[in-house]
Amino acid sequence: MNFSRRSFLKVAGAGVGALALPAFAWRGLFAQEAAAATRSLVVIYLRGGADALNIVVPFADSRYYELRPSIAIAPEAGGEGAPVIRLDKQFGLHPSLGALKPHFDAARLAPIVCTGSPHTTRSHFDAQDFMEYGAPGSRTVRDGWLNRYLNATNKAAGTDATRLRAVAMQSLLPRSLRGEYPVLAVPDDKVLNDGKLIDLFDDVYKDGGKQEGEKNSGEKKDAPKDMMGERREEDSVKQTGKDTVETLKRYKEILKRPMEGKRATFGVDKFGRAMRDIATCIRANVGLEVASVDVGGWDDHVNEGGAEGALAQRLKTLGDNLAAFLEDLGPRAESTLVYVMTEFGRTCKENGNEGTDHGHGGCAFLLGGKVKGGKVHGQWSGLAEKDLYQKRDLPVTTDYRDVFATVLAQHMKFEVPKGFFPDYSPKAVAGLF
Amino acid sequence: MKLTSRLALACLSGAMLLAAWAPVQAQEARPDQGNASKGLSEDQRIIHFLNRFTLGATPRLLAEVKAKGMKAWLQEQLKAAASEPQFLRDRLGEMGSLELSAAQIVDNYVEQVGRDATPRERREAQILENIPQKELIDSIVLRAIYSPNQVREVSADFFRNHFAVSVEKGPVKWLAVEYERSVVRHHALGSFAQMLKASAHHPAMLFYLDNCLSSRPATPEELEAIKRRGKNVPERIEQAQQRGLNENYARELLELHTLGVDNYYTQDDVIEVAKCLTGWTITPRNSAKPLTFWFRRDAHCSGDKVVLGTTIKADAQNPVNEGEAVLELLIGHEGTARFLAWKLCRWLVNDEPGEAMVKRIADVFQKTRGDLAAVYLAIFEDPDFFTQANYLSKYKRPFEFVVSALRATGAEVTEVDAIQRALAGMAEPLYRCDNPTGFYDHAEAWQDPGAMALRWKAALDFAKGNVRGVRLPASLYADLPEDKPMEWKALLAARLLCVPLSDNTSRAIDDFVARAVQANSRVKVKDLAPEIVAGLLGSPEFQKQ
Repeated sequence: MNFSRRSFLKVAGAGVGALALPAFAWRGLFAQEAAAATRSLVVIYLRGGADALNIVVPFADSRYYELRPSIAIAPEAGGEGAPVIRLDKQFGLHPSLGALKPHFDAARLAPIVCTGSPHTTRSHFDAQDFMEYGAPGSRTVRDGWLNRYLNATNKAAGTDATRLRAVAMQSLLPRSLRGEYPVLAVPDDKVLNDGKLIDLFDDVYKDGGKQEGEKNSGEKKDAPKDMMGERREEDSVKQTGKDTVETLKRYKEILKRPMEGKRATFGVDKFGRAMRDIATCIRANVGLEVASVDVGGWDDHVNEGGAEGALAQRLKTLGDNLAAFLEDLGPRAESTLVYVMTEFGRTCKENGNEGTDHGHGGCAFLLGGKVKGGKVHGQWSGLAEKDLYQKRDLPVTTDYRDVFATVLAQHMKFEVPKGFFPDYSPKAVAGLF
Repeated sequence: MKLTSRLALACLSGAMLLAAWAPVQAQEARPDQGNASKGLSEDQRIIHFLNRFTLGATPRLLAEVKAKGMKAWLQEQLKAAASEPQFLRDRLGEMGSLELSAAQIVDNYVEQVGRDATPRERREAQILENIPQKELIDSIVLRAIYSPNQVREVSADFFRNHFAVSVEKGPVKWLAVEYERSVVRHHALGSFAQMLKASAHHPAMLFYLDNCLSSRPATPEELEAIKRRGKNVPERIEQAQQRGLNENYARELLELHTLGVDNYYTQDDVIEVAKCLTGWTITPRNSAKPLTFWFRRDAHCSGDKVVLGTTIKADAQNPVNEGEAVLELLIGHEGTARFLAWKLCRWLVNDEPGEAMVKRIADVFQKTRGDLAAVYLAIFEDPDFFTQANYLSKYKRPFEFVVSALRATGAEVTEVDAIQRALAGMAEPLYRCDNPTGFYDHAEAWQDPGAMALRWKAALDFAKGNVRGVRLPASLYADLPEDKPMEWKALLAARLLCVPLSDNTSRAIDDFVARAVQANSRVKVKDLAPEIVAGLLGSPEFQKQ
């Protein structure tokens, strides 16, 4: 059951309107400007545990080649398949990520190695939940770290009804965006383009308005809420409906605006379209702070491939569209940070099926904004068995919460308050910005 | 679809609907009785019962259960003895793959297309190959809507998610028909123990979670032997080295199918379970009994294993028994009983089921080794089942929403493809869950701003006849007074909903109708009434159960 949303209802009364604070006059005046200066964070989640070792490849370590006889990426041309794209003397990018190399060279791309969750779980579902809730091991925290950010800064964000602070480019929200702050999960085009739909359900889900309260008073409202299962649940359903109408209207309006300047070429796949729509929102100056995209399929137990193959294809789609995204944003790339993450890395040693099993430490990319790219971040301790986590996986030397906190502080200008991560005080990751 | 069955369908649903409304409306006037159970009226109790033990309460079913009594009705349901209506049997009978074995499906539907095949031949082979998975989805949706054995459908829905496999992964699309039939449906009202074993042995699961590939690593002696023999040494060495353990199934067996995540077990247990299950694979296509369970002795890890603190002695005679012993260990484990009891209570009672109830149900589960009929009866009879806090407390999953909407409207479904597409749009396509957890069954997972618009869209499309293969019967609109549009809402609400309409929804739809009348004072039933139906199906009242 959705505790957070319910407790929010108690505080805020009803609806998005009530969520906002009293409208001060200055907000209208400065809203446009504020939106133009908005910093945006775009989180891309690689679901399934992407294989860090074949994404940021430690090509200088001979152990890497011993551990992965059939799926390793060659250190240089002339080996099997395309070689790594060298970043420094130790690491190289997977050859499918060629589109990102110029951004590394221009110091806009910062890979982080051996980052992830300190929690021992190798369950996808737990690892993802723990990470997105920013609460490893917790089964009670039920709002995502990005939602907590949105909620905490909601007051400062103002009440401008044309703002769209956050979207998820999929029909269900990721865990990171669940919680009190209503974030739009963008449905498909057929829904967006159905004119009748919003008209009809705007009515069904709106507050009774002026007519409310004639008959409705008295009978249930004063009853203690914990006794009134029906009423409580009705509210959360109604609340979702109202949020849906409100945010959809806004989103539709944004996509319809004329766009100045030319567009980059995005892929026609789902990920490409999502990145294009996010770029549209950012360029439209609607105050988009957080956007999220899920990319599935990274659970390469079997036939992972090396320089070519299943993982290579996915990385190609990822890299090409990220490059297009930065190109499309133009100067807005300065105020936009892309954060690519996954729940864990995979076993250093390949398994019996030319794939890899669930591991521990993973990798992340920060791209754009003011990140100090051009350098591989994170602490690397090598692949000797004694240095691996449980003798098999990369260790976690940079807690993902430290990265979250650093990104929020340095990029979003939001210092996480005490308790933002339950029982954890994050440390700034040095040199990242 | 054949004309005869379509006619039968139309007649039947029409008759069903017309027969249903009269008594229900009469009952509404009756005072509530039997206030014993924590504030729920007798009608509310039955509605609650039907909300949980069927895929959609309808006024007709309400009347039926009222006449028979809930317990008697449930006991009959637990035998799944009600005969399916003729039109449903006809429809299922037309599906050629439903009763076939996996091997027969491959024989009959999968053609090897040669390199010189024409595009047309390729296309035809593709169409043929997709028939079994299409029939699988068709049969599930049609049974969910029309089968009178609703408790079995609810249970199958649960276990289809609990033991999820996806047709997106390789040959699972040809294996899933048999899996649904022999694992999910066959045991849905039987024994969890049997179902777990059936899933563990079934090629669909063996392939989906990679256990069919898991084997012991090559020993140094074997590598030496290959070198000594001297034939194709590099390739053979490579093949031998590539063999190895795959933990995927072992982990999900513990995490998802039995104990629950990180309950009772550790990473070492995962590895030990994987070792016990090495060699559990699938017979090849060209073998005597193709695409069935096959224990490959030469792939099995030798030696004793320790699982959850219990030593599984190496069984040199019959090493397949080590895997069987693991399953037995898990079936009898209190963790399995607790996890399954909790999950079933969440499915059938409340998103956050009370601990005391879970404990009671777990006891029944463990005592009966997961006799599902006994477990369902225990949930029904539990003192915490009929409570105000549980009543209408669950938000329908997309599948529940779609099926209940089609049941409530008496929809005539002649094609299912568009329904599966609608479910995919709502992120719950049958047999295509992205991960082996199955689809979530708690409100929080589905209640997102934006996601609800997909339900509204489906409701509007169903009602307006925009979904290929789905037609709402004319009888739904029978007797709406053409000249009094403001009365249509109440009449339609009584036909579709078992719960009263809230003042808010009621007024909202009145506003909507009033606007339509203002725009066109002679608005017709056929134009406006479907939109009222959509408004009702998309209303907060209909999202809950």
